[in-house]
This record gives sequence, C-alpha cells and structure tokens, in this order.
Amino acid sequence: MREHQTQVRKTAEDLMKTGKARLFIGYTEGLEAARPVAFFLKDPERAGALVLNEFCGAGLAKYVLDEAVSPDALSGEPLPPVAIVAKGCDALGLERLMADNRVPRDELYIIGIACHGIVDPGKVLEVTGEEPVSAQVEKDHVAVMTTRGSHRLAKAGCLMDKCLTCEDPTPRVYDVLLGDPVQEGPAGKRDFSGVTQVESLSPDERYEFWARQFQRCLRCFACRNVCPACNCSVCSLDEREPEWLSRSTDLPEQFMFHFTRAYHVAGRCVACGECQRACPVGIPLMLLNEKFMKDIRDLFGEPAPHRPSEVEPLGKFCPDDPEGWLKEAETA
Amino acid sequence: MPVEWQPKIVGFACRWCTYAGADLAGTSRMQYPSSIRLVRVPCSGRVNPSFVIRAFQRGADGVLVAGCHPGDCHYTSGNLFTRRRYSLVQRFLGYMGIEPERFRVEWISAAEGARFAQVVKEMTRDIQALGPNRKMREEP
Repeated sequence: MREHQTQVRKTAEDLMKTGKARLFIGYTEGLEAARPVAFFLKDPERAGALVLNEFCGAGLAKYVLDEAVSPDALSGEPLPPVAIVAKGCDALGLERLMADNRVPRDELYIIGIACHGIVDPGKVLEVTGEEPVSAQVEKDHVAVMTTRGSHRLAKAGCLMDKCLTCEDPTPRVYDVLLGDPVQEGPAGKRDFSGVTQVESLSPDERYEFWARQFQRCLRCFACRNVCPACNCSVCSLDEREPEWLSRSTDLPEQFMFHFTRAYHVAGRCVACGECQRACPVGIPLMLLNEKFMKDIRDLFGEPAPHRPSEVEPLGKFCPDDPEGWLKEAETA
Repeated sequence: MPVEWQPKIVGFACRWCTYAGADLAGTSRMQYPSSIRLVRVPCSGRVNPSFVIRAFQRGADGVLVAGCHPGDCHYTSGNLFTRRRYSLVQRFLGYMGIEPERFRVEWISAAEGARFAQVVKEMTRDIQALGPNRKMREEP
C-alpha cells in the first residue's frame, strides 16, 4: 500500500491538472498516524497531502453519492468523472452503487489498489499496548512500528476483521490498477465461524446475546450512513408516516432497527465491514449480515453472495427453491 | 378449575387462498382455538418482515404468515418471492432468539379449511408449552 502513495499523488495531480476528473477522493493524515481520513482534492497543488498506507481501511465508496451528479445543471455540459481510490472492498461498494443504478459507470474514474490487508490500530493497541505508527504486511506476518518499538504480529491478531475473510483483495472494476493483482485474501476464505457460534446457542442465550449488544446502540445511524448497500434516497427508518421505528432507544425498538437494517441489505451486503468499523459502541453488525449471507449461500446456492450481481438473490426466485423454514431444508 | 392461558397469534393470510381457507373452516363448523387474529393481505408477498417484528413488539406470542401453494399464486409469482424472503427471515428470527414454534410460514389453499384449523391448533399447543412471549416485547 505505502509503496503506491507516490503513484496516487501523481495520478491525482495529473487527473486534476488535465481536467480528466472534477474531484479526487482519497485519504489524508488524520489526527493520529494510524487513522487516516477521507480527503477531497480539487486543487492539484495539494496532491502532496494525499496518503496511502496500511491504515487506509475506511471505505470511500459512499462519498461518491454526494458528488456524482450527472451533467452540470446550469450549462447542461457533461462534467468529467469523480476519481476515487478503491481497494478490493471499496470497489465492491462502488459495484453495489452501480448495480443499484445510483451512480453510472462513466461518472467514476476508479484508481484500484491491490490490497494485502489493512491494519486495525485498535487491535495493535490491544496486543502491544502501544499506538502503531506504520506497518508493512509481509507474507506470513505483519511488521508494525509503534511509538515505542517494532513488533512482528500474526495477521489474525492485527488485521481488520473484514480482511481476515476477504475474498476480493483486488478490485473487480477499475480504470487503473496500482500494484500486481492479489489472488488470495490475507487469511483465506469466509468460513462464517462467528455465525456458527451464535447458532450453537439456545434461543434464550441468543436473545440475551443480542440484547446485550443492542442495548449499547446509540441509534446514531453510522452503520446505515456508511453502508454502500444502504443507499435509498428516503430510508424507511426515517419515515414518520408510517413510523416503523420510533425515536426511543428501548430494547424492542433496537431489535426493530437492527433487524430492519440487516434485512434491507440481505443479499446486497458486499461484506466491506464498514458498518462494524463505524459503530462507535462496537456492535458486531457483520454477524447479522453474515447470517443472511450464509443462508443465501446454503439455500439458494449463491457461491459468493457478497458480490453484486445483475439481479439480487431476493429479487428473483427459482421454481424449486427450498422452504428454508423446514427443519429438513437442506443446503442447495 | 383455572382457565388455561391462551396465546395471541397474529396470522397474515393471503386473501386468495388462506383467508378463503379460514372462511371454509368457519363455514364448515370446524373447531379450532380462538387464539388467532387474522390480518387479510392481498398476497403473502405483501407481508413486510417488519410486520412480524411489530407484531412481537405489540404483544403477539406467535406469528403465522400463510399464502397460496407455490405455483398457485393469484399474482403468478408473489409467493415465490415470499418463499425466498421468509426462508431467510424465519432463520434470522431464530438467530435473534425467537423460538421456532413462535413463527410459522404455511401454504394453505382455499380448499384446505381442515389444514388451516390444524395449523392453528398446532401453533396454539406449541406456544402454550412455551408460555407468553417476552422477547422484543414493549412493556404493556
């Protein structure tokens, strides 16, 4: 990742100077070295502020919705596209927006990054007790420099959760790709072990588990707002008439909120993990999304339910679909 | 002699099949528990999964979603979408901790009055064994 920073800056400068893009969405230094933030570049002179490193985990896909408006309303002239830096997971988010007809393909200029995994500063802090400053993902470990020294950490112990189950480290759509395509995610495939763990509990224990998680929910809507699959212009959860969700944060309403959020992205979730990353109280939202993913895979035989397709799993049917509520409904 | 506790079951019934089936059960004088409250919907595909959560929130002890058999949908494919949708939702409700006895999906045609009566009997019996639902429930 870091080795492509110069290329990203140069690409951004060129695109903005030649007018081939009207905006460049990338990352810049945040308050801490290990927490870069989104950066919207319009002035080519400022391209030097762009960064790209092992901590650029936040997804940028959703930002294009604020920016990608087709022809210039005043002149009617078509505008140049919006350029955006995208790792494999971010590109899936962009695919999602395109599949949902929220953004036309020619409105985007995608700078694809072949990704080896993103380091989660929170995990490093937990493992070493120190704040990370820089990192390099190697073949079988991660070399992390912290404020006080350097560490060799296992991938499972310091990469973001989404990276450990990543199946698309290389973007599937891009206009230019930096780095050689990466075939394998840093830690193999999605095995739904978290989902299986919850499934193994009794109904009462499951309810207790989720009640404990949802009780912390502040209803800040961060999970919805960052999600590339949650892109309706009007959200049913904001509606006052009919009011599906009251403003109270009582437990029954929390269940309504989390059920509805997860169900509305069932079969559309791209497993980018943004909801869980953005959640300020650490609710394991991917456990909800992955449950739907696992069942879609098992019941309807979709090998990779997180990849956007022409028609979503819940937007179609087969005459011989199983009845998933029957005990004997076996996997397709 | 104590009065036996009766569960409250909300049934979403498709107007073309299950609602007519329930009607047949009634006109045929079939005996089944009065625990079910039917809500008539144009098609089982009309049943937004949020309806189910809302029913549990407002005090239902069980929820039934019932429509035409696959292939017999008045709207050709409504219940085929329902089948996919509720295959996932039923499992998801269980994942959140709702007991499987409390939520059922059934195909009941207009001719199957006896089947309707049977399903209500079974659900009532199963939910009686579990007792009142407290999960996701608003304080009355």
